[in-house]
Amino acid sequence: MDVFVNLTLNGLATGMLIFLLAAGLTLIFGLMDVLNFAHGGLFAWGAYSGIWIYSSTGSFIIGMIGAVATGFLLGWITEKWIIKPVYGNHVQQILITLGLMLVLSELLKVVWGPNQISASPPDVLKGSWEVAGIVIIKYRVFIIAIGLLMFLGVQYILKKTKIGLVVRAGVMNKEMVQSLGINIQKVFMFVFMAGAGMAALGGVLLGPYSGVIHAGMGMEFAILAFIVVVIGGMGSFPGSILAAILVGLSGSFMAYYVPDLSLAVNMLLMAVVLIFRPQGLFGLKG
Amino acid sequence: MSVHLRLHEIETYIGQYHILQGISFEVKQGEVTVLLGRNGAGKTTTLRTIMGLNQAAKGVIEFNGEEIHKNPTYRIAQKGIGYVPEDQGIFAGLTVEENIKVAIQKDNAITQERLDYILHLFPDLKKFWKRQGGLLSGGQKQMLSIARAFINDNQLLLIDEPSKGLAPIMVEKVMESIMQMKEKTTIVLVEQNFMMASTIGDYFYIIDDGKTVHNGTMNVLREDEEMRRKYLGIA
Repeated sequence: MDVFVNLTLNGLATGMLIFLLAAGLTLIFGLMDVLNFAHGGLFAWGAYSGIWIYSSTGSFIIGMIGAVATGFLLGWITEKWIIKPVYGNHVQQILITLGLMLVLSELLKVVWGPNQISASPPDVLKGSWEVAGIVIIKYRVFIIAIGLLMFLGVQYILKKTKIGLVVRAGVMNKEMVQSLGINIQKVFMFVFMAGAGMAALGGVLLGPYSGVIHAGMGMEFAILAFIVVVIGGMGSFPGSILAAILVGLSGSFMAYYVPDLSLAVNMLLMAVVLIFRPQGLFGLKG
Repeated sequence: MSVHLRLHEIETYIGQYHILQGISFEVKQGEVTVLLGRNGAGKTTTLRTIMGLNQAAKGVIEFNGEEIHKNPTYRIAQKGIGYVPEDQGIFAGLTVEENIKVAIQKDNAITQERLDYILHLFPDLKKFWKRQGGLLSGGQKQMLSIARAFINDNQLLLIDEPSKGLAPIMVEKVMESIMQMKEKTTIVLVEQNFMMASTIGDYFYIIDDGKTVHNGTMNVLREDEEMRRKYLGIA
C-alpha cells in the first residue's frame, strides 16, 4: 500500500510539473498556431532564476514569484521579437524556436556556470507525514497542490472572464475574433506570457523535487510536454492536465515495476492515442 | 442620402492569383446594396478585403469618409462594421450565449436593448441559449452569426451568402430578419439566391472576373433578363 500511494503521489507530482509546461504549450499552439520548441528553455530559466532568488533571499515564495516574473519577461521578449516575425510559417517557427532553445540553454551556463546546481525544499516542506503507516513526502503534495491550483485558476479565467472567452474563441477561429473588433495580437501576447510564466513556475518547483537543476533540463521536460500536448489534444487545456497525469503516473509505475520500459511507455501511450484518436483525447477533429 | 462605404479601383491578390482587378462601388446609408455575380467572381473576396482579412494591393476603401484599407481587421470592425462570413464563423465549442458575449464591444444599456431585439427577432437563439454553437442547425448558425454582427451598434453589416445551404423555410426566416434589420442599419449583401437578393436589395452591383461591371436599382435588374442571363446565369 505504501509503495502504491507513493508511486501515485510521485506520478501525480511529476504529472503536475509536466502539466505546468504543457499547458502553455498547448494554448500557444491552439491559439497562435505556433510550435514553440523554446518552451523548455523558459522552464529551465524559471528553475535557475527561481532557485537563485530562493538561495539569495532564503524565501521559496519569493523564488517562485521571481521565476514567474522571469517567465513573463522572457515570454514577452520571445513573442515580441522572435515569434511575431514568423507567424504562419511553421518551418521558420521550428528553426527559430529550436535555435532559441539552444541559446537559452547556453546562456544559463554563461550566467550560472556549466555545473549542476543543487536545490532543496524550504524547511517547512522538508520531510514527510505519516498517515495510517504510510509515509507521504510533503514536497510532492505541495507540487500537486500548486499544480491543481494553477489548473483551477486558469480554468476559472478561461471559463468565467472575458479574456478567457476571447482565448477560447481564438483557439477556434482567430479570423472571426478579429472581425468582432478584438485585437488578437494583444491576446497572443497575454497567452504567451502566461504560458511562459507557468513553465517557469514548473521549472522552479522541479528544482527541490529532483534535487538538482541543469541546463539541459528544459529539453528533457519539453519532450514530455510535447507528448502530453499530442495525447491531450492540441489546444485543449483540460486535455493537457489529464494527459500530463497519465504520463506522470505511467512513468512512475513503469519505472518501479518494469524499469526497462519506463522510457518507452510515454511513446507507446502517444502511439496508441494517435492510432485510435489522432486528434488527441480532448482535441477537436479536423 | 450620405455615402457610408466607398471602394475605388480595389485590387486584391490571394497568393499569386489576381482576384480583384478593379472593384468600385458606393453604399448609401440605410440601403441594402447587393453584390451579385457568378461563383468565383470575387464577391466574397470583396467583403474580406473591406474587413482587412485580405489586403488590398491597390485602390482605396473609405468608410464614412475615412480611409480604412490600411487598418488591421479589428480596427475596421471597431469603426462600426459587422461581418457575417460565408461559413458563418461560429465558435463551435462556445454556447450561443458565449458566441454573442464575445462579440459585445460595450456592455451597456444600448447593447442590452439590441440583445432583447435580437432575441425577439431570432427566438431560436433564446431557446438554445446554453447550447454549443456547433450543435445548432445550419439556419440557427446563420441566425447566430447575423445576431453576433448586429449586437454592437454597427453602422454597416457585411453579410455573405446568408441563404447558402439552408432549407427554403430557413431562407425565408433569414430573409425576414434581414428585412427587419434593414430599418436599423445599412447592409452590403452577397447573395446567389436572386429571389432573396431582389426582395431585400435596393441597389445592386454585378461583379465579373474581379471587376464591377454593372450597377443600378434592383428594379432595373428585375426587368433586364439579358443582363441576368449574361452575368448571373439565370433568366
